[in-house]
Amino acid sequence: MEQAKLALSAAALAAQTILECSGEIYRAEETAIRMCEAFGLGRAEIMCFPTGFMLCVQTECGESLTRIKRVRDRSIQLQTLDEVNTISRASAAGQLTAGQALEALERLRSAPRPRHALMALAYAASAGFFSVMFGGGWREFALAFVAGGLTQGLVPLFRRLNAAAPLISMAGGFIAAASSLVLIGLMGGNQEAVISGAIMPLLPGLAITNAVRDTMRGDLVAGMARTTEALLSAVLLAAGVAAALML
Amino acid sequence: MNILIQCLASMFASAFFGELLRQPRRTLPYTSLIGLNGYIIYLLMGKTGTAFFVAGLAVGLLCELTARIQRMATTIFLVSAIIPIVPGLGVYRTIMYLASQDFAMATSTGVETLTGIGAIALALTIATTIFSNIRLPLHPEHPTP
Repeated sequence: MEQAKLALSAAALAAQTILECSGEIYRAEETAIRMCEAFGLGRAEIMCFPTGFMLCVQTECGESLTRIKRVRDRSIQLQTLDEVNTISRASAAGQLTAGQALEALERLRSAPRPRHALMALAYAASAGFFSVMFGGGWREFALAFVAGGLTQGLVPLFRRLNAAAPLISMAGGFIAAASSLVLIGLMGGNQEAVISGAIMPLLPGLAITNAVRDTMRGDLVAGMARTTEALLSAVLLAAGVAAALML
Repeated sequence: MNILIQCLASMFASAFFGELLRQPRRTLPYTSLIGLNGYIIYLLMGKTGTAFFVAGLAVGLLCELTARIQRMATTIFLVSAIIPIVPGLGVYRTIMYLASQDFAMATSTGVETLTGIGAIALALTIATTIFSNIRLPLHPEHPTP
């Protein structure tokens, strides 16, 4: 019984981590079921949504165990997603016991997040290169680099204020466009290339990709939820940029 | 010359975008090369709706293939590899026209941009469907991810 509970906890934690890292629904479901099977639990059923899941198994003595988990914090962490995948594969291959898998998942979840400065640098560099791609030169690269760094530097502050996710997207668009406009006012440059480069990393690309993948797999509820999320954040991003342009 | 610089920029943009998404570092070379490949196809085909579709299909198929070979989730590759052909300029122009109340231009640019996004989404879906129906003899002892 204790063993079954441990196994169920490991499977549930894996599903939770995948949802928190913006993985697809079928990946969370399949991972949990595969881990339950690997740890010798009988029939497992799971119902997953982007915002939570219910996992239920029947043990050998005929008892059923259930885990219900609400998932609140969702962010994009592809590295973590890959590591959960590795743990689930190792469990399915019999290389990890339930206890070891649970421990590995907990270690993974408590691993330190990458530094803000590094993320700001990554945003800045990608914004700079996007603006070159959109026809900018060295000047546009430099301006989009600074505007991008500012955006990624400031947006986490809004997150700390517990603002709603769509509002954070709007703030991101506003900061990117407003700082680009100020920089162009000071130093001149091609406005189109700078601003479109600076907002490019904010476009909800992962949300759209996952929405399509979920819908095609038949996870209609998740697909619709993610489509709405992507549309909402795209519209509010546009509103933020438009607000900066109209000022 | 300009085109060459833009292609190189698309590769680096894709790599740094991958870092921003916290993609595993060892996958960055693959995704930036696939991104470059998609962008070149997109440029060669003249940035039309069909160009979005064909480039998206190429990126989708290459990502699925790499994911199978590396035994990793396809999503990890897909997002940063597809970003160079996402019509960010179209999105910006639409917002610009909306902000200056030029609704006729906003509508036509907006529809053009949405067509591009739709074509990419369709292409990625087709690539996924193709790969979910064939079993590659790469790692026969494990089911494909």
